[in-house]
Formats: sequence, C-alpha cells, structure tokens
Amino acid sequence: MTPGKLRFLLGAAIMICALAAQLASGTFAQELFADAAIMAVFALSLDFLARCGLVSFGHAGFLGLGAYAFGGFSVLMGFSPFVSLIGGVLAGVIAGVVIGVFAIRTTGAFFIMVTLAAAEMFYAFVFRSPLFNGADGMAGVMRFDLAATGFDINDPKIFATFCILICAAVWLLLEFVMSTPYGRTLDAISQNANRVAAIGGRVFYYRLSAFVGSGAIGALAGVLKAQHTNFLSPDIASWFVSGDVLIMVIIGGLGTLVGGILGAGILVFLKEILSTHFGHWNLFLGIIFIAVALIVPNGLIGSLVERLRMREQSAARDAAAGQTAEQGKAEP
Amino acid sequence: MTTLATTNLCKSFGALAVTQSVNVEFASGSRYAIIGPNGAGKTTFFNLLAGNLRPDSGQILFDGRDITALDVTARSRIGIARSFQKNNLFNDMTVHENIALACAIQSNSGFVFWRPASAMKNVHEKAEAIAAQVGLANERRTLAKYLSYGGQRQLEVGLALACDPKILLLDEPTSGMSPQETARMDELLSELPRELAVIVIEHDMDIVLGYADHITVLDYGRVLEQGTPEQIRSSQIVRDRYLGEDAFGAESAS
Amino acid sequence: MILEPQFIAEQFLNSLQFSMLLFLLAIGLSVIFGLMDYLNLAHGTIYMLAAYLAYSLAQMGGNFWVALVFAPLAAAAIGMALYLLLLRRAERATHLVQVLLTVGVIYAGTDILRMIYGDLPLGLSQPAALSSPVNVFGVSYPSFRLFIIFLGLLIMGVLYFALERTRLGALVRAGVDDRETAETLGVNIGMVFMAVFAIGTYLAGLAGVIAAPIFGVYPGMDVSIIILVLVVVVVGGLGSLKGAIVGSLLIGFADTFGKLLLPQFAMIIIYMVMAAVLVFRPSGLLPARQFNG
Repeated sequence: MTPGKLRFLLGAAIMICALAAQLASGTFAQELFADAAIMAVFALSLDFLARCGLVSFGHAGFLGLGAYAFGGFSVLMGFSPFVSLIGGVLAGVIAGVVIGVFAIRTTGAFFIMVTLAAAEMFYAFVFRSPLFNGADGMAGVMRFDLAATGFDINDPKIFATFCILICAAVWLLLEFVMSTPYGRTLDAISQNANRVAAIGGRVFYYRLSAFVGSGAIGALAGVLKAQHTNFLSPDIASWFVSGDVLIMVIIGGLGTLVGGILGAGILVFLKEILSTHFGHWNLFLGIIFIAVALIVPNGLIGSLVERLRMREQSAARDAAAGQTAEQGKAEP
Repeated sequence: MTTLATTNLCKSFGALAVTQSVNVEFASGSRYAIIGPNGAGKTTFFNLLAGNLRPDSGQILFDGRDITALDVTARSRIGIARSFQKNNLFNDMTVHENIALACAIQSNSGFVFWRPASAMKNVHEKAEAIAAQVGLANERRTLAKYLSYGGQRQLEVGLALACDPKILLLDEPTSGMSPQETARMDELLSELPRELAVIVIEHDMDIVLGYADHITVLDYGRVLEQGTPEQIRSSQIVRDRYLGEDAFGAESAS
Repeated sequence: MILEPQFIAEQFLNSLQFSMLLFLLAIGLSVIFGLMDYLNLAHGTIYMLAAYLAYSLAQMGGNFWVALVFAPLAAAAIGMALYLLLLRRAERATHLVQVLLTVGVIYAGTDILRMIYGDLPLGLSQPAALSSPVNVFGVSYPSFRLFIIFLGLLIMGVLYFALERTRLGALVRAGVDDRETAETLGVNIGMVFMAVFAIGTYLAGLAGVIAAPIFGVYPGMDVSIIILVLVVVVVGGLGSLKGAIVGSLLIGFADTFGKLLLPQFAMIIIYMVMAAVLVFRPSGLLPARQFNG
C-alpha cells in the first residue's frame, strides 16, 4: 500500500459513504452533508496552496468574494446562475492576481498575516456596504436551474449530491494537477524554494499561479455556499471562517488533499453535535484543536501517510542495498 | 567555446571585505580549482558567480556579455549551474524525482499541468542517465533525506548536472566524505564531459593537483596567485600563506 | 468636516493614545515571534483576560490603580502557566501547529471567560484622579488618555534602556539576531524565552487594563485588536523595538484619521498602508534582521 493509493482509497471511501449516507438520511442531515461538501471544496483550495509552501489565513476572503460576486451578478444584475458562477470564479481569479502580486513577496508567517489582513479588508467592506445590505445580509440568492436534467436542485438530497459530486471532481482535478510536472514543482518549492530557483524555476510565478488557482476554487466554494443558504452574510468572510478551514486542513493533514475533505466533514459535524448538546461548545472545540496540535500534529491522514512513506522507504533501501550487494558479488 | 570572467569583483558585508578586486577567467574545456584557507571567501565568490549574491562593484561576463544583473534563476538558464557546500536537496523526494525535476524545469516543462509527470519520457530517460553518471543508479527510489551523506553529495552534483550547464561550479564536493566516497567522487569528476568548464572549490590537495588545469588561490578575498598546478606548487607566497613547506613531502622545487 | 486646529490636535492626541495601546501589544508579539519563532495568536487573549481581571478587582472594591498594578501581573502569571504547560510543547513545531494550538487557546479561553462573566459588555471606570480634562495644545483633553500616552512613552523608554543597556536585553537581541549562534555561545535560550514571554504577556495585560475604561470589556475584544496588532508587526518589522514603535505610530494614526476622513474605508486605508510597505520592504520597515519567514 503506497501513500498515494491510501489517499485515493480513503477519498473514494469518504465520497461514497457521504453519498450513501446523505441519501439515506433526513433533510437536516442532508443540509449538513451539503455544507460539509462545500467546506471540503474550500479546504481543498487551501490545501492546494499549501502544497507550494504557502499557508493563507485569509482564505475566507475568496469564499466571501465568490459568494458576493455570485449574488451581485445574479440578484443585483439579473444574470443567470450559470453566468454568475463564471463571474464569481473570475472574481476569485482577479483577486488572486491582485492580492498575490503583493502577498507572494512575503513568506511564512508574514504571508499568514498579510492574507489575514486582506480578507479582513473584504469583510470590512461588505460589512458596511449598502449595496449588499451590510451586516443584515442579502436574501434571494438562487441556485442553478437543473430543470433540464429533471432534478429539482432545491431538494436538499439533490443539492447535497450535487455538492458532493463537485467536491469529488475538484479533488480528482487537484490530484491530477499535483501529479503533473507543475504539481511536482510546487511540491519542490515547498521543500526547498531556493534550490528550485537555482535549477532554473521562477518560484514567484509558480506560487502566484497556485494562489490564483486556489482563489478560483475558493470562490467556487463561495458560490456554492451562497446557493446553499440562498443568502449572503458578511460572516462568510470573517477570520473565524479562515481559521476554521485552516483547522480542517491541519486536522486532516496539510498537503494530503483528502485530509482537507476529512477535516471538513469532521468539523462541520462536530460543531453541529457540540452546539446542540453544549452551550459553550467553543470550549470543547478549542480543547480538540489543542489535542490535535499536540498529539497528531501531522493530522489524521497525514500521520498515516507519513508512516506508510517511511515503511515504503525502508523497503526501498533494503532493495537498493541488496542490489548493490548483488553487483558487488557479480564483479570480480 | 564559453567563457565566464569576472573583472574587479568586490563584495563587502558591512566592514568586512569578503571579495576584493577579483579577476578570474574560466573557459569551457578546462578544469579549475579555487583553493584557499577557510574564510578566504571561496563560497562567497561562488555565490557571486552563481547569482546568489550581488557584488558591490565589478562585473561578471558570460561570453563577453555582462550578466551581473541576472539573478540565480536566469544564470541557471544561460548555463551556469552550481552545487552547494551544505546539502541543499529536495529531501522528501526520491533521487530520481530530484533529478527529473531539474531536467523538467530546464526543458521548460515546469509549468505543464495537463500531462502527468510520469508521461514525460525524455525527462525520465535523462534523469536515469544522470543518476547513473553520479553513481546513484541503484538508489533512484530512495528519498534524498535517507541517502548516506556521500550519496547526498553525489545527488548535489547530479542536480547541478541536470541543468545542462556550460559552466559547472562545485562547492567542496568531497567535504565530509570518507576516503572511499572521496575516491568515487574523484572518479565522477574526472568522467565529466570535457567540453564542460568545471570549477571546483576544494581543500583536498591531492584532488586539486590531479584534477585542475588551472588553480586560483584566494586569501582574505584577494587572488593570491593564479596558474597551473606547477606554478602554484612552486609559488613561495602560496607556500608561506597556505600550503606550508611540507605540503608535498620531500619534493620542494626551490 | 471641521479642519480646525483644535480638532486636529485632539485627533493627534487620540492617535497617539491608540498607538500606545497598539505598541504595548505589538512589542510582545513581535519579540516573541522574532526571538522564539513562535506565532502566538493567543496574545490578544491575555489582553482580554487582564481586562476581565481588572473588572473583577474593581468589583471587589478595588479601584483602577489596584487593577493596574495587579491585573497585568495575574494575567502574565496565567500566560506563563499557559506557556509552560501547553504552548512550549509546540516550540519546535511548524507555525501551523502553533496556529492550531493558539487558536484552540483563543476558542477555549473566550468561552471560559464567557462562562464566568456572561456575554454582555462590562465596564471599568476611569480613575477619579484622572477624570478632569487637561489643557494641551489649546485643547481640553481627557487626562486619562494623556496618562495612557505618558505611560506608553515611559514603557518605550524603559524597554529601550532594557534592550540596549542590560544583559538580558543584549541576550534578547543576540537571540533575535541568530538563535543558533547564541545557543552555541552558551546562552540559556530557554531562560531568555521565558523572560521575554513573561514580559510580553505582562505588557499585553497592561494594555488590557488601560484599554478597558475606554473600549469596555467584552468577549471578542481580543480578536478585534489582534488584527491591527498583526498589521503593526508586519509593517514595523519583526523583533525590533524601533519597528514596533514606528509600526504602532503609523497604524495608530492611519486608523484614527482613517476613521475620521473615510469611515467606510478606514480598514482599507490601513491595508493599503501595509501593502505599500510590503512592496518596498517585504520584511517590514525596521526588522531586527531580514527574516526568511
């Protein structure tokens, strides 16, 4: 079992289980599954960025931007949901370029702070913006029209299935991209950016393109979120959301991609369970975060992957030593 | 023929002048060594040649063209590649992946996001060849961080070679190696293609004298002496400041 | 919009006062990160904790001055306990693990305070001795705010002296500059860390107490200030006193005058300032050294 196969199996298992479970449960659970799937897409966008060594603490900005752009195009300007989706994703792309050009000059902790600040900027804007009703939020956001296919998108079951399928598609797309030379270079940059520069790679452009792609997917998640709640609220871009999605990714395992999906599912359902049973459930959430940070710092799937990798490596080293020994015997 | 030359290259860190008016010229087809006591500024000189550092004054000319303003990445693309004194690898990637990455970037496939990396046949073939060239054919699937120290030094050279350089800068390739590993590296160095200009920073005088066509001796950032191994051997200044009288045993060409 | 010199003078003083508050928080965060490479987002939680403790002390019959002396000390003690028991374990971990850990502390800490004190904002009265306004630059200015300005300047002076003239200060500067070398030279870097953490959290606690009479005591006050503090640290540069001073002045003034001139876009002005600084100086204006993130 290689780490790669494990990740695929886990991902497939999660998708299939989620699909089956939501079909078999009631409306409320179906809404949760939809929420989890949307957050999973969001987490995937963040984890993709993390693969090139950049961790953003402001990704909720993209989520909010996608949602508000979708709302703006569809509700305020009357475009069809599909066109508005394109508009939302494009907004994410443009923001990715504009913010990335400044933010990518910084690294590490500074990048964390800059992205946080950028998201806060967006939050502050929509909080006060009369265009979108500010803090009161804007209602009337419509979902896609799937009438042509015979499915009613407003049926929670259908919408949840739709979101899970999109999550699966995004996941497979990102896994593919990471298997290409571009993805390999991103991985290398996260390990040793200086060496990538020394072997001829323009690190800035790799990172910028990853940031833009990540922003586009984050905006896509925002579009879905707006459709899910049929409502726009500034809270979608608050730093709590940025923190939440970061934690989803860390809990699952930074860089594993499928870890983000698992983390999203865990956090969405955990919050629901905790909040229905306890008044001050942030306390328990905080304790869980602390526990995960101290006990499985590589994340749940991350730790598994790490262990498999090490086992794979000792096997490879034994094989190599065997080979060299063979060659030694063969030579006179 | 490719040439790399520096004219009056100077670099200071605050009050400390690390490189002082260095004039050297390298040409393809030859082997060079840069030697000198610790702190002489050898690695700084390499950093200036490769583009990791900007000089305070002076020029670096590549085939007569002033490349002083080019950064590391640009210089790597025109044909100047270097290995590092401290292992500077992609530790969580295998030997093959390390080299293949460099090959892919050099062949401008770095931004290909529509084909899997496994489909890049040319890149993989080239990476296999280079791995064999640096003696890591059997360890291609080993993660760089699990290689022996000697293996990592070999991979260092391999990464630089993967850049298809015209000028190869090797910073203390044998540092920290056992005698067997050193012998292997020595062999590797002598088997490098002749058209390549190889510039080595070395402390091991056996290697230097056996390998280099031309030696530059640095001391406190200045060029103390330059010339053929015989010239350096017989130079009184070099003997006084660096090699010592007994460097060559009973032989002393006085 | 009145551009009378009196009004400007008043806003100038307000900016200065706000800058002092930011400075007290920023210097701790900046040096903790610069020296220990520890991204402690829970810094604001100590600030909030001290404010609540000050409220309790006042409720128990004490006044502002009692709170000013004891609340920061108590908050710092709790901060140290937190460090020794919990935060220290992630010292060698990645920044992300530190983020996860400290965010956990924020979540838990906020809820614990809410459980004890409830959700409604609480108040702390200004000290009676400082309730009458004073005439400054022709402006009638609240003396409590003046007190904050003087306290801030005093602390700046003390810190400057401590960093430049004392042994501990030299050790801190050495550690920020090059931790490894300092360690190999025999510096007990663990002790220096603890001292820095203790002082940093004490200053955060102090900030909480002096902010309470002006901004009130409420859950979420840690978050609302920490964003600005992060901007100050980014703009000023990591690990240096001068950076924290310059950063807090710049952001303090940008925030105050920004809210005045373009209330809708005050935050945006601040982020533009930050973006502008980062374009020319990706490590901030006056970092202790060029950090590689």
